[in-house]
Amino acid sequence: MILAILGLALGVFLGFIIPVDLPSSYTSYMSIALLAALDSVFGGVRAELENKFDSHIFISGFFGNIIIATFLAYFGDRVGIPLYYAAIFTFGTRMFQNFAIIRRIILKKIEEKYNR
Amino acid sequence: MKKFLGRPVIGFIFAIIGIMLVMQGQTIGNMGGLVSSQRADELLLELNQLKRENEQLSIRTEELQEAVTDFESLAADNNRYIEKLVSDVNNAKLYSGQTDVTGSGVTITLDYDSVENDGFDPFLYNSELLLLMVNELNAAGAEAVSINDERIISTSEIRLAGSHININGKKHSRPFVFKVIGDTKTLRSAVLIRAGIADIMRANYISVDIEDESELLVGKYEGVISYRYAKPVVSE
Repeated sequence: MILAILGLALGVFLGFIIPVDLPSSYTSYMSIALLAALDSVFGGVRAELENKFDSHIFISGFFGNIIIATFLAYFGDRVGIPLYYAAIFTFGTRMFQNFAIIRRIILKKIEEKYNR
Repeated sequence: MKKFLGRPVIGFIFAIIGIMLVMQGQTIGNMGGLVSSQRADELLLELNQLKRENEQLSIRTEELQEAVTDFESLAADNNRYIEKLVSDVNNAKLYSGQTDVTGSGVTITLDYDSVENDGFDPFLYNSELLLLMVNELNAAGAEAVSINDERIISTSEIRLAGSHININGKKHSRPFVFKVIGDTKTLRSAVLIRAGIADIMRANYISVDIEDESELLVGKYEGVISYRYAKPVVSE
C-alpha cells in the first residue's frame, strides 16, 4: 500500500518536473492510455482479492492494454473508424464491473469479521 | 493485499500512472481548461449562426455593389460628360481601395515559430507592430496593402480584440500575410533596414519572411464605406 502511494507521489512529482508538453492533438490517445492503465490496476486489485493475482499477467496486461488501446485509437483516427469509443466502452464497463466485484468481496470480508 | 501492493513493480507502475495523470491534466489545462461538451455545443451553435450572418452580409454587399455598377453603366450609356465622370469615379475607387489591383510588389509573412506548443502569441502583446509595419510600407511608397486579404484603406483599423486582432472589423490571427504593391526594392529595404521594423519584429519573437512578387493581386476592400457625420464642403 505504501509502495503504491509512494509510486503515485513520485509519478506526480516527476510529471511536474519533466518538461514534456503533449501536443493537444494527442490528448485523446493519452486519455485512452490512462483509462487502460486504471483498468489494469482495478483488474489487479480484483485478482488479488480473489487470490488469483499473477504479477506477470498484471504487468504484461498493463503495458499491453496501454499500447493496444493507444494504437487502436490512433489507427481508428487514421482510417476513420472511431475505435476510440470501443476502448472507452470496454475499459469503462470493465472498471465498473471490477469495482462492483471488489466492493462485494470487501463487504463480505467485513461481514465475516463482524460475525466472528 | 500484500502480494499485490507490496512489490517494487507496483510502485513503478503507479509512478507511470502518476506521470500520465499529471501530463494529461497539464495538457488539458494548456488547452484552456475543461470545456464541457455542452458548452462546446453552445459555442458551435454560436459560430454557425455568426457564419450564416456573415454570409448574408457578404451577399448583401455584393447586391449593393451590383446595383451601383448598374447605375453607373446606365448613366454612361450615351453621354461623354458622364463617361468622364465614370472614369473619375473609377480612379477614385482605385485610390480608395475599392477595386482589385495587380502589379509587382512583395509578400511579407509574419508568424511565430513556437518551439513547442506553448500557447504564446507575440501578436497579442505587440499588436501595434502590425500598425508600424503598415506605416513603414506606406512611407516606402506602397500603393496597395492588404493583411490576410483585408485591404488597408483610410478607415481600416488594426486593433487587439480579445485573443484576435481586428482588421476591418474582422477577426484575424497569425500568420499575418501582407501583400504590398509598390517598388520591390524600396519596400524590401524599408522593411529589412538595420534596426528597422523587421529587427523590431524579430526582437519580439515574430518571424519575418519577405518575398518579391512580379505579379501580385491585392483584393479590394470588402466592406461598405458610409460616412454618417462627415459631409463634403461645397465650394462656390
